[in-house]
Amino acid sequence: MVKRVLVSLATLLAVSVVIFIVADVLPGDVATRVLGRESTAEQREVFRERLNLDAPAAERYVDWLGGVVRGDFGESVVSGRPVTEVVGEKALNTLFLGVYALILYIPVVLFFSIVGAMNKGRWPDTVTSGLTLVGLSLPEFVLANMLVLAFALWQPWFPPLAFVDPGMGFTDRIHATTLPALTLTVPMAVYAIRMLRGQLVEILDSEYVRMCTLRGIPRHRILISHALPNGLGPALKVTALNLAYLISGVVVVEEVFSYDGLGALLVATISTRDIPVLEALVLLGAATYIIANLLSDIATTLLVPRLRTGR
Amino acid sequence: MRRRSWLVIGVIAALVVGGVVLVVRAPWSDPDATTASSDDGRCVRYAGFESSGEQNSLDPAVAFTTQNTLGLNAVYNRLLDRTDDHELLPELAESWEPSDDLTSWTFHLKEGVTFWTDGHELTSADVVYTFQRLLDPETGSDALSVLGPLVEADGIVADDDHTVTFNLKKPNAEFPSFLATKNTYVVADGATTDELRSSGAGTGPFKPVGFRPDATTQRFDRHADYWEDGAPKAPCLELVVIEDSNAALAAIQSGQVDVLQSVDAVTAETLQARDDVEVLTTGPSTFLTFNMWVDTEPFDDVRVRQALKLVVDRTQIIDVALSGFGSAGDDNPIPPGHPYAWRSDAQAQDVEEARSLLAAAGYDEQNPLEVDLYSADVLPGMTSAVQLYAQMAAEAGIQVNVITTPASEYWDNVWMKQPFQVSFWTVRPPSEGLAVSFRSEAESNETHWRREAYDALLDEAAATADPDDRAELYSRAARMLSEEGGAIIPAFVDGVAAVRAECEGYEPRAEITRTDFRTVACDG
Repeated sequence: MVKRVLVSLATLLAVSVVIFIVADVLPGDVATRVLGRESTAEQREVFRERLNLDAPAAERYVDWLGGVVRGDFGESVVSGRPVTEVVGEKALNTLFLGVYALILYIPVVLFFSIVGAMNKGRWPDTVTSGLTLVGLSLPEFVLANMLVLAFALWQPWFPPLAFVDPGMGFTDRIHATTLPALTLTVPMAVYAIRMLRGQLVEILDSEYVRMCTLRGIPRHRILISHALPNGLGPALKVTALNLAYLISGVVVVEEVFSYDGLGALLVATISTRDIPVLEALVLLGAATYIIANLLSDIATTLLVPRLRTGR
Repeated sequence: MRRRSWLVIGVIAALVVGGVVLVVRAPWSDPDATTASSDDGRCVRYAGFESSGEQNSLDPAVAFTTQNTLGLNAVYNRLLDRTDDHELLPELAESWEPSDDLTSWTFHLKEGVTFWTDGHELTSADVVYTFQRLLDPETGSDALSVLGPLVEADGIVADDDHTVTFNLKKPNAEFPSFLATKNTYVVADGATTDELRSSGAGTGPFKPVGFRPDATTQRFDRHADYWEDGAPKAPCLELVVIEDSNAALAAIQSGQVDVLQSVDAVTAETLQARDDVEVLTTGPSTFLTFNMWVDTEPFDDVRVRQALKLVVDRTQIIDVALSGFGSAGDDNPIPPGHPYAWRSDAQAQDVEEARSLLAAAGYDEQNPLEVDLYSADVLPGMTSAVQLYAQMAAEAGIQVNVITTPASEYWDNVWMKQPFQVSFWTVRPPSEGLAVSFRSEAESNETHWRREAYDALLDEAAATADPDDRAELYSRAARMLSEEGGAIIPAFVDGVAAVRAECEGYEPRAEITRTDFRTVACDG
């Protein structure tokens, strides 16, 4: 466990170095970005000096890292506000959207994969697998636009754009973010459904299930107490991968729904070369990825009987 | 017993459905659910198209993108405003006049104008402070490069409480026009940059409510003591930004927003088919330009430049690349319909003439003219305009190799760095438009156009008091560019906005940085 944490920290450090180098190599000058193409050379010089941009990249990196170690992520090059303030609220917004998408994801995955597995080869299974195939092949922005067409324009149940405010009530917020959350849920769920259904089908055919059936244990109990826990392992792995997808998926989804989150901030930050904010965003993403994998490993160990008993 | 497993699934399904119903039950379009709805109409929800992100602020000294300018238009006034035809209108200044030799300009301020911050009355001190601040390099304003060459901070003096005089470095007949730009909003005397960034301090029709630069929705309430009668019409204003064009389309179709500041041609055509949305256009707002370096082969031969201009079918570029939302350009920055234009129509396509000019310059079928045109998708329609241009040039035997670069790095790495490249500019008054990218010493001299005779015409115009004589001088300069200059300006692009039918009084302006919130109001 200690080793794993150390490796994670080393990974984060490596990521931060890579980002710094990439941001330095990226074509384009921060000063021109911030001040605009009609700015004068003199204005740009003043700006560079104020931010110490002419110092070597290595020196700027060490300065920055020193700050991070003390918990100071620095200030946005663009606005001069502390990075934590710039990122903080948007991170909460994205977290809200991600958690909402996950909450929708779990029942959807369980429902469809159980229905599919229990009716193997019959119409509910065919319909489920057809739907997941369609879901697999739809890019997010198409799905998003279809959802908007159906549930914002044709049936105006939800707003087409997910505008949120800090002072907004919980139900209003849920209402505003339902379409983007669904857009994230679908691509995540289709993978997990196919995976879990396959596992369940395999397990339901296995000898120990036949044994249970012979003993007269009811089918739903076999499913819930025996098959499902054993089948969850791979599905949890997929879920961890899905969490990683969430991090990148929100970029597209936030753009389409004009949602005020990290994705939109990331795009803006790359175009303005705002390195302190960019570093914070990428580290946040990497940390989420690492933690998600860690959690899925722990959950797998706890839930899957074969692993729990310390084989 | 099998029934029980279905029961479990049923409960989960019911919970999901129940959750959805609960959420749907509070329809967002319900008028009671939206914030303010008073007896005189509701908030106008206005959507910009370009986000400033962290750079959004209420400091007029820095107007990074059009998102900044939206807030500025709401909370400030300028000394004067200018129309789409660049005529000046009084705003905070009732009247103004120059000294006989045009070296100083005196402005008479309106009385009874108050700031929404603390209710104090506008005086000369506020105006002097505003412009001295813009001229201070520490402020870091774009306005410095415009105003700096014209006037020094010490030259701005308050004659009395309501009179301000600007003593210029040299005579300038167009000076008032420079006080009507995107940075010249009048702020309260003594307001610091930090205060202005985060809360602003102006006399405008609206006042900000808890401004935060990165908030999704910027809320503004009516300035109760606003000086103009009957304005603003709306009790409040909610500014948002929608960068994705599909999202913008959905938002106005559903009524989530009332006004789209700018829409692309495809969206405009979709919206024109609807009864509940009106599409409004302005006159020339921006122009596309293909820039040739007049000092670099093969463009240093004026016949080559003329041939490359003669091959353009301007109508086709407008119809195809701009979907009809534009007008022809005449290879100079003044639109042909403008009072200062040197002729009222644009150069027509003449492939034969282009061929004979090329032959005279030594190009023929064995030795065809071949040029590289660097482009990027920096403005809607630019890419297809460039493709069309390459086809048109081929008709005259010219091979134009279009080299497309990513828009994100275009301004840093390609623009001004290749001898034949595209760019675009907003339409400005002739005095500015002819200077900003064509004067010898201009920092954005993208065609390497350096002619003493041209600069002399502009200088002479600036020192000429009579408007007709001045127009004559400007049109001579414009003619020089059309006939010999390095810019191919095939088309001017119209501004296109969309408004919900239940709103009235909104008029989009050709200058995208100018947004008039005073007259718009929405019902229902």
